Amino acid sequence: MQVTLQTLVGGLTLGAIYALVALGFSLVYRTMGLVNFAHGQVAMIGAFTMSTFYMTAKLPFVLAIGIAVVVTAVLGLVIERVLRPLEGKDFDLMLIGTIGFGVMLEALAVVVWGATGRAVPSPLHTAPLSVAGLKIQTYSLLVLVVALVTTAMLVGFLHRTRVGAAMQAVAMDPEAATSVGIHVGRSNAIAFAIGAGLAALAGGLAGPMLYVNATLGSTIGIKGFAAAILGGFGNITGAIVGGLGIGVLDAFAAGRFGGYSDLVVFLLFAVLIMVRPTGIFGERTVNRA
Amino acid sequence: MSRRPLTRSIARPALWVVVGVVLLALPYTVGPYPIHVVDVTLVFAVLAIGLGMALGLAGQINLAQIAFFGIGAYVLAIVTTDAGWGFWAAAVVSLLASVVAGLAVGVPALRVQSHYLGIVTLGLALAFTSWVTNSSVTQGANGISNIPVPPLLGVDLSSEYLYYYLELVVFVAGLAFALFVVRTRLGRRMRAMRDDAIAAGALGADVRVLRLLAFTVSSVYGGVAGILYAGLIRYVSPDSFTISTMFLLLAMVVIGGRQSIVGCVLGAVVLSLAREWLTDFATYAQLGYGLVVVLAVVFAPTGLAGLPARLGLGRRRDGAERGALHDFVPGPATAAAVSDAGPADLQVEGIGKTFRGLRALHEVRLSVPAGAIKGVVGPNGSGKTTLLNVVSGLYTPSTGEYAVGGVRATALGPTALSRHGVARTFQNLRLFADLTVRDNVLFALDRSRSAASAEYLVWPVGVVRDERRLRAEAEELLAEFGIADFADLAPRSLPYGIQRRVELARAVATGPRILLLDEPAAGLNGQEVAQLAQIVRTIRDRGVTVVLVEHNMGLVMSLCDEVAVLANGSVIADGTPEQVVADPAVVEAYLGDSSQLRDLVPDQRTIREAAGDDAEEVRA
Amino acid sequence: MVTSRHWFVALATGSLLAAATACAAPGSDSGSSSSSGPIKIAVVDAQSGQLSSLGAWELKGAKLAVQQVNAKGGIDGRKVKLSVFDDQGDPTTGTSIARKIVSGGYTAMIGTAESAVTQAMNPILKSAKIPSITSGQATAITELGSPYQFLNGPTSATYDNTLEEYLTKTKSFKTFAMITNNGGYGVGEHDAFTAALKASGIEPVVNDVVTPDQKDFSAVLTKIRSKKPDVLFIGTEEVEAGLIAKQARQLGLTAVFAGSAPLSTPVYVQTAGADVADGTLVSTPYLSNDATEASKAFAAAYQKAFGETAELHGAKSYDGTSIFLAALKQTKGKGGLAMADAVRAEKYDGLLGSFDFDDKGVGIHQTVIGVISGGKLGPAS
Repeated sequence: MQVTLQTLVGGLTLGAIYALVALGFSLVYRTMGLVNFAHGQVAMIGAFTMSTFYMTAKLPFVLAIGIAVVVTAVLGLVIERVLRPLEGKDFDLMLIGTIGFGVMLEALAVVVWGATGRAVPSPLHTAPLSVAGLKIQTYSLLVLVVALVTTAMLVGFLHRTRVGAAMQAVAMDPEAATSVGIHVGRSNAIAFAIGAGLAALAGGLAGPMLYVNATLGSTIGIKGFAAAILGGFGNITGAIVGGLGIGVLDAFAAGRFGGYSDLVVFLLFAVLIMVRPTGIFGERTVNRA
Repeated sequence: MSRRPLTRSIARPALWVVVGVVLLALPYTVGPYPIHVVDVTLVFAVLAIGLGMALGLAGQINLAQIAFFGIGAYVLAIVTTDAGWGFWAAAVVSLLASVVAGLAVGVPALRVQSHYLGIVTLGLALAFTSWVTNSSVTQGANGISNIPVPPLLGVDLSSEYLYYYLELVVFVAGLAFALFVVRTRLGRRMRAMRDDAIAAGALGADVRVLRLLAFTVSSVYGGVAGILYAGLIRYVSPDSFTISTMFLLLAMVVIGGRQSIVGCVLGAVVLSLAREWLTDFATYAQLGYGLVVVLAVVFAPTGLAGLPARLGLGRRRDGAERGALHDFVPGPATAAAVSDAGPADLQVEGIGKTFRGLRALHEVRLSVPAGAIKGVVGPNGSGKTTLLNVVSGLYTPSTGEYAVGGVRATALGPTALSRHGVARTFQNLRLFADLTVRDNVLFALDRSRSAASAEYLVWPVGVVRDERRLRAEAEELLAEFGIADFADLAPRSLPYGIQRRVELARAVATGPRILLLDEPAAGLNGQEVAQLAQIVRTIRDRGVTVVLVEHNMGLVMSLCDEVAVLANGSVIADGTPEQVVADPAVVEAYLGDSSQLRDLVPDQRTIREAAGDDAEEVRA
Repeated sequence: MVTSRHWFVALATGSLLAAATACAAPGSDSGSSSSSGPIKIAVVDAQSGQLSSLGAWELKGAKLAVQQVNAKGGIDGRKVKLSVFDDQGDPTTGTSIARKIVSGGYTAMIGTAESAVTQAMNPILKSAKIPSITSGQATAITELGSPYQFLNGPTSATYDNTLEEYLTKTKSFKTFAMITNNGGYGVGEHDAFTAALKASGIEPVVNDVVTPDQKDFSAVLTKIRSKKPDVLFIGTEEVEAGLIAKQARQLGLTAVFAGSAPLSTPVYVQTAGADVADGTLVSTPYLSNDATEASKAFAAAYQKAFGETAELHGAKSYDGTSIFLAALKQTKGKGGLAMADAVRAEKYDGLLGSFDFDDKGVGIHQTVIGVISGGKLGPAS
């Protein structure tokens, strides 16, 4: 029982990171129908940027993450700008283009930060909470809270602000949005920038829990992607459920199947997608592209 | 074909001879290191052809190609070293294993496409890596060494020079087969499916079978490459089949030009050599090929293979050369195309269709007698296109039944309906954009089953014969429809009116008993509408029932024997044109102004019908 | 479509040429090393990608050994020339490099750090009779049966037998839990430590395998915590070992951490955190730069040449290269079987101990136990 609960806690903690990654995926997807395969690598760049400002420049952790978010948001704008000619035309090509970006960013990280990577010390130094024999890290709680608050803020942004509403409109019908005077290109760019910023938030928060190196992106990227799909691609609340779900699934698979856990997780995932392509909260069409 | 300049038809074989001589003489000119690089390159070239067939030809995002490659190599290694089988017997086993893997990976493609398929295949590739890393059969991370040298009639294949010739033979055979597939019916179907799976399905291509075939073909190339790899390197480990190698392979295909098999080979050669050349700058090389992939998709989506055309080299035919749209002159080809079974009637019994609570059709009853031209009209959003989508099998009706030619057709999918003699055109034109006009028609003329593609292996001569016959028929049909001048052009380069004509020709080419036309006059000028009326009449006279959904009331009134009027998803009137126009319910539905009814011009349709085109729940 | 006549001409010409060339078999497979000019030695390691830090250290160790020999006039009057090849950790690339080494006339090879790459290169090097010395420690390498294949350090069995003996005899620990990963290194550790425990009649209370990419170990660690073992043996690479140690302490696991070489590195200490890493028991052939006079001299020279502190991998590669150079001195620069035999005959006193190669290519048969305290590795009591 204790093993089960502790596994659950561990799964939820990493799941919160996957959820933040999935949020960015979903936001970009629902707005412009693009699946950004470089999203994980953007998160990795965010993590490295955070580590540079936190460890090398000795800035406060929160500020370092803030800077990382801004840096990757700009990176997101660049990616969006480069791929813009393909928007609404060939989604498969765009998808391959983002894979190209991912490969590039990974190499770039090695050039800039080296291949060894770095361990980031935790900004919180309090002892873990002990609840009925369960150990819960205060930092894990922080990450979980950040993930939930971010989701709430994102939902609020989309529903209660003008820019957010415009993005919603673009997501539903780009043509109609254009006809009522919404600048689709700008809306897409904002979505991409926010998505990239969310990736940096995920990467930055993952830093002290994991180890920051160039392959961090592919590790959390693919799980975050799976989370987004599981939650129902493009669905914001679905992303958070999907993220936590994948985290827990991963944790239990690792406990139960050891080295074979990847095999089990990905086979299970393939079956889930076939049974329910729209994910848990899927609402829109199966294949918007 | 005969119009190609003479110099070109000589230059081509001359080029091939030069390439052939260079390839044959190559081992005599290089040292052991370059020949090894060439041997590895050929393995990747075979692998790239396979990926090109799935990704470029059939449009299936396949990130599991590396797993097919790995399975080919691993099964060979296991069967030779563990079970002690001979190399070639083991090769057969490993090829079978690859095919099984190909079918298994292809199954998700029946349900999901595009990025979903990308992530699923990527996940399955990772599952493969997980398996080989853990299993004791594959000896885990240590890998399997001491794979035997393939024996071949006393030739010592441990020499990489001689191994090169073995690879060359396999590669050339693989390339030839790939080109053969691309240029004949199977390849054409796959390209059509890639461009528009819904239209391809509605015109009779079994999309599911084609997708599975695409993955199977892809896996065969993966397996062959794996076998060659195992025989060359004689050691396999999980590190040889990583995701980064998969992305490198993807880069090869994209940079080379995914829609051209020769391009894929070119990409494999260029990137393999570049990787070898830049081996001391591997990180920068990675940076470089990532960048080139990005640049390629944005600026040169057709890759290296498409560069000559993009740079304006080679022949290019535009406006001036285009030729003219000629009159429709029905002849033997049109007559041959129309089904011998004669016109079929359509009986719709109480069809209803709801989309998430939104009622698009309600209790629709419609009778179309065999050989009649029946018009279906109604205000925007009245459910006309939905009705057409139901009776062509794209939508499953929520309630009710319908029968075509006396056969209950409700449960049939679009493909089966097409085979049963239902053909249609689309409101928003669904021509296969990257196929030529000729290929669009050829696709429709070809009524063979995709499942019968085993003929490619068993009796290729039959495929060639069929192809010749189809091409002859297509030329005639194109001429009779007056579009022969555009045969070699892509539809999107043509004016709207010509595209409409092409789509009509394509529908007729399927050999229909009943033809469903969705706003065929939209966007046509007066003269073109008149020609359309003549074509429709002629086709009907040759023995085809016609259902015409149209806004152009002039056309409907003059052409149709009967007219049904839809409003809010229900039939409110049905009868001769005269009866319908006089019906008060109809007048009311058209805002109480019967003159508007007559004057409705075709181009007013700007807002899409509710759940009109492209909607979800489309049956493949 | 091209007319069939042209194709016929093309095919006919092609087959004529094919017939003409078929008379003689192409190519010669070996480019033998010359007996004049510099002696060429190749260093093959990952210089890019995840294992590149390892590759960089090994290169430095090899460079230092060669510099010292060249400073003393080289071998038999000939200079030694070192060339670097980047295998990217990819076996296929490794085979290409092997061909390059063969045709480039190299006498010997230093590397690689990746046992999969070493195994892939082995058949080519074996048939070309080129001796190589790897820093891998997988049992599979010792079973390749090549007289040209050497290891510059101990095997996993040596590491783990020494560690197990220390833990059970000196420390009298009774209960053990194990976590290893399923990568090349982890599998070797899993097999070696399990076997060592078994020889003492001990069955680990938990013996779980994780994946090299795994980030969360709650499940396995909680399971281990409930068994209250004395020792947690960690058989994974540096970063993962650090994450496991960190999470273990966070979950309240009090067992002593033990393992081999990766746990002696600064990366492990940083990832786990210095307070967590303290007390970790490590089996290593190279305790510290201050352990012996030889290691002090090596560390000083290393510091001077590269401006950084020497560590285990550089020392291993330095030893391996030095042994090869000593053997070449014996053969007066001649490679091949003569050199391989000379390596086996050589009794070399190195930084890692006394090398005495057996017929499996293993030269070091013992390690020492160190303990991490204050974030630094020192000798265990």
